[in-house]
Amino acid sequence: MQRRLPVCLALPCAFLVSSCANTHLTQHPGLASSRPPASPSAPAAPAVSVVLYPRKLKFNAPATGFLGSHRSAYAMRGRLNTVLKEFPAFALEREGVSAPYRLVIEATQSIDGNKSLSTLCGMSKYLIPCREEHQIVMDAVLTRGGQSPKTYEATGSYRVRKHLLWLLVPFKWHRDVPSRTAMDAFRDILIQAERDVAP
Amino acid sequence: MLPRSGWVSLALAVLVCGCAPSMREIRKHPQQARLEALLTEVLPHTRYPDKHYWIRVAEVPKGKEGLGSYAQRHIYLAESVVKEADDDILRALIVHGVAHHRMHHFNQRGMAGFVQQAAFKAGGQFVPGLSNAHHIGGPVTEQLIGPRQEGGADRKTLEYLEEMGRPPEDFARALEFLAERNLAERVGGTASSPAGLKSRAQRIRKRAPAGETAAP
Repeated sequence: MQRRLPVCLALPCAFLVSSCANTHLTQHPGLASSRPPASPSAPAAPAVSVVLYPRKLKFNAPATGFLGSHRSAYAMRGRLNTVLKEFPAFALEREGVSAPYRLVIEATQSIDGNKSLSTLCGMSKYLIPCREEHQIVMDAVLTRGGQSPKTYEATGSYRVRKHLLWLLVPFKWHRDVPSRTAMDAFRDILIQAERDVAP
Repeated sequence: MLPRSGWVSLALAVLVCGCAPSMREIRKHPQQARLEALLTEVLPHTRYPDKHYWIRVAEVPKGKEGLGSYAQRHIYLAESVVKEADDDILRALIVHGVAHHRMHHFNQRGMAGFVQQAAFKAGGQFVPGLSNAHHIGGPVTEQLIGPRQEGGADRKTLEYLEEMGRPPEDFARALEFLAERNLAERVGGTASSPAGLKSRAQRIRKRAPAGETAAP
């Protein structure tokens, strides 16, 4: 029983630190930071219906984990919902609601790094350290019946360092970095589309 | 420190995860629009035409795969295949990729892997090192499930082609096209060898009535 105790402690700790020590790296085109706050006057009906197709790539291949990929897609939808509140002209596409424009966003979250080292890191409960770079790439197409489609692109990236010792330095976790990076990428896409939609 | 069985499964897991070849998608390939147009022809004949598929041209570092179907509705076609194949062959390959996804082959594999992983994790509480054995057990299970799924996907492909008014010969030609270039079909962690592709093409020709094998 005494031998089991460290493993039982290490497992929850590993879950706790699995996404900590995040560092924001890049954001392109980075329009979100220069955008003025949203105007309070909201239009009666949204002009653009937004469709999101999220996916997760791990080491250049689609992630196979059944729960992991669904969790990632769910998180991405939540981030888009949060960002859409700042853009009254945009709304998620629903049945029965028609908007003149349609914006299809393909959101890709890809994880790069050393696959073997990352596997070892997970198997050793984060005793073996590893580093992963997460890229968020958004490709969007704005269409309107009869008009040629317009395409937009936004990217963001951050680094995740995994090791059990990060548990001791909570000020380095920066747990909001993944969602902030994705939300800024969404904002970049919507700002670009907003310029083309505006009369 | 890890017990001896733990180190053994760790070493085997590293070997297994290092062996799986991957197709790397090419962003904004010039032929991307052509593939999407072919996919658009297929989707109205499926049960859920609004489903989104990630169809991409892929570079194959080891040059062994021609068609890849992966989780999250991904269909990859090797760059060499896209450059050399005509529309009929590409359409048949895309239909086959869609058939794998429509038959929920990845959900079946994922569920089998999940149950197995849970069982190994539970067993690991009693046998040291067993909790990591799913890294080996997962690929083995996929190898057992894979061939049965191929037969089902082949039948579904022929159904879709019939609905689209295309002859079964297109699919037989597509499989032979891959086999002649020594390319394999990869579905998740399993791959069909060129010899296997040839025998599947022969089976399709035998199954199809004589009048249906000729292109219209």
